[in-house]
Amino acid sequence: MVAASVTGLAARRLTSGYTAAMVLLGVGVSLLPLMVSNYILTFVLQALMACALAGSWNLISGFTGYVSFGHAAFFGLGAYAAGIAIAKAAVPAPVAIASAAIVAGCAGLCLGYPALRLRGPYFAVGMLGVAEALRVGITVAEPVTGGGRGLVMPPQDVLLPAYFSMLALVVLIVAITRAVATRPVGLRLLAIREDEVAAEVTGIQTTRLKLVAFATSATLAGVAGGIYAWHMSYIDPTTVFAGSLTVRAIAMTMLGGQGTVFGPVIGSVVLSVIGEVTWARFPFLHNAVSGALIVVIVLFIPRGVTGVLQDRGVLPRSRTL
Amino acid sequence: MTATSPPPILATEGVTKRFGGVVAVDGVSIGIQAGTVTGLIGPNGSGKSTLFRLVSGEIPPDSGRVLLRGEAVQGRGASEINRLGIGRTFQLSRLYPQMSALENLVAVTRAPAAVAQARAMDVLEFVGLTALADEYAANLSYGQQKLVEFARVLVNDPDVILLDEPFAGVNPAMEERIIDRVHDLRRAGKTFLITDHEMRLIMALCSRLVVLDHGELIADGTPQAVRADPKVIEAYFGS
Ligand SMILES: Nc1ncnc2c1ncn2[C@@H]1O[C@H](COP(=O)(O)OP(=O)(O)OP(=O)(O)O)[C@@H](O)[C@H]1O
Ligand SMILES: [Mg+2]
Repeated sequence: MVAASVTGLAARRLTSGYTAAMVLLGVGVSLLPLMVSNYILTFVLQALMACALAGSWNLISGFTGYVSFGHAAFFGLGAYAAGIAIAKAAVPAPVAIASAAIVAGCAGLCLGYPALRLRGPYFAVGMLGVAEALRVGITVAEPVTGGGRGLVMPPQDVLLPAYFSMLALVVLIVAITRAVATRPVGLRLLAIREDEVAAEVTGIQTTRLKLVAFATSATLAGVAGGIYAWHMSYIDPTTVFAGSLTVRAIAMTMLGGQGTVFGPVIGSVVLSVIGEVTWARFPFLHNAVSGALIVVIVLFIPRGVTGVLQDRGVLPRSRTL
Repeated sequence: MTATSPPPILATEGVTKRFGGVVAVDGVSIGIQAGTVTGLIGPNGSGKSTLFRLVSGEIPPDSGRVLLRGEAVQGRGASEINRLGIGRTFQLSRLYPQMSALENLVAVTRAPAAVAQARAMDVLEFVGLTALADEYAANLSYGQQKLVEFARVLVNDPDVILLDEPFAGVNPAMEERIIDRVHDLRRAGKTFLITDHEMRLIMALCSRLVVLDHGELIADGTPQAVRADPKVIEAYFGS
């Protein structure tokens, strides 16, 4: 099955080279505002947002195998927490984004506690139901949320600060993922994915680990939602709780490689660029393509691009990738 | 058991487990002394693996108690029971397939992160698996997987070790290695409960045998006594 495996010095060189390429990508994205138009910046900001969603989804679903179809719930909650704080209390952006983190994180704890008792498809569909219920809840709570017509904040031009905030979030998510993946705790999360019963019997505290990973994932998705609300100055339930946000995060993570450090980055770069030049103007098609892609990946490259490159001996099987 | 023997480190008291109509384990009471190697034998389907699952907390008993150092632990959950000092292998190895042998041990070790790798390597060396440390579990042979799983149990230094058919599908050289390690660990004070169908090995290893048939304890004693027990002969060779 494994054609070749890279080891020793070659492996270390490849690993550093790969990591350096990712750092360069980050530096490039941070210098971009000096060089390109606002149109392109807005596109890259969307790609960064998708990357943040994919990376945060990866922390729970990619590592533990608890595939959530409701990740958008936390993005939406974060967006509304920040949006309401800005619209009703006129708080500065950092406070709004902090409230997004807190609300989404607490929701992650409260929802994760019961939901993570479900396994496999029950968890996936349960989370889908949660996202849908929250969308309806926000729509109904019109006096606070603006209901289906959406929530309007005072318009302000924050493209650049939002851009750098989203970039910082992506860097933070990658840093957290790397810290987890290269320590025993990352292996424990993967053990839950590989065989949860064996994980329990070998003494891994699966319930606690899953909950921490889930709440962290929810917090980070909430921050992405907060930055989004701040940047857009307008949010509505259909957009911020959209299933397509989740589906795209899943497709990107799976394409890059679940449970890897840079997989979600690779997946979001590839799919954002391809999406922009092909089907972006047809939102319906966009979702269909993402969905179809997930099926194809699951069937043919379940470990994503990273896994394929590792199996072919192009990349070493290092947890830092 | 005489009045002078110390309290058992592990005991079951009337433990019962039903699956639908099948009583897989039926009111089993066993006490195991620390520092001994006990064999748990019985025909296919007699309830050995189910008893292991009950003791390790993978499933709760319908009734009865599991006592570790005199304390009731049934219903505590597998992870907690493992942390209290009961380690167990599975009849069919359940390694984490997409992890190397070394990572399988690092994942479960409770040694501090900084020394986790070193601790795992030490244990792999103890069972003679250093050369396979970086091999992915999915690529290991059946026998190698059994040995890695044994090592994975040892990495947290449990007081009580349950081995479910450790010799099934294992070649003679590796059999010997497992037997040697069990003897080493017993001398260091560890307690073993081992199931296997290979009587030659069980006889060589165990100072005491307990026998299950249809979920019930039918014999308990020295290997010689159990082998001569008519009920045991009936269970194995009767219809
Ligand atoms: N999860 C389950 N659901 C239903 N029946 C089960 C389950 N697990 C075990 N059984 C039944 O319980 C009985 C005991 O099974 P168990 O696996 O404990 O036997 P065993 O002594 O380990 O056998 P073997 O020597 O073949 O490994 C069998 O009749 C089996 O069919
Ligand atoms: Mg069995």
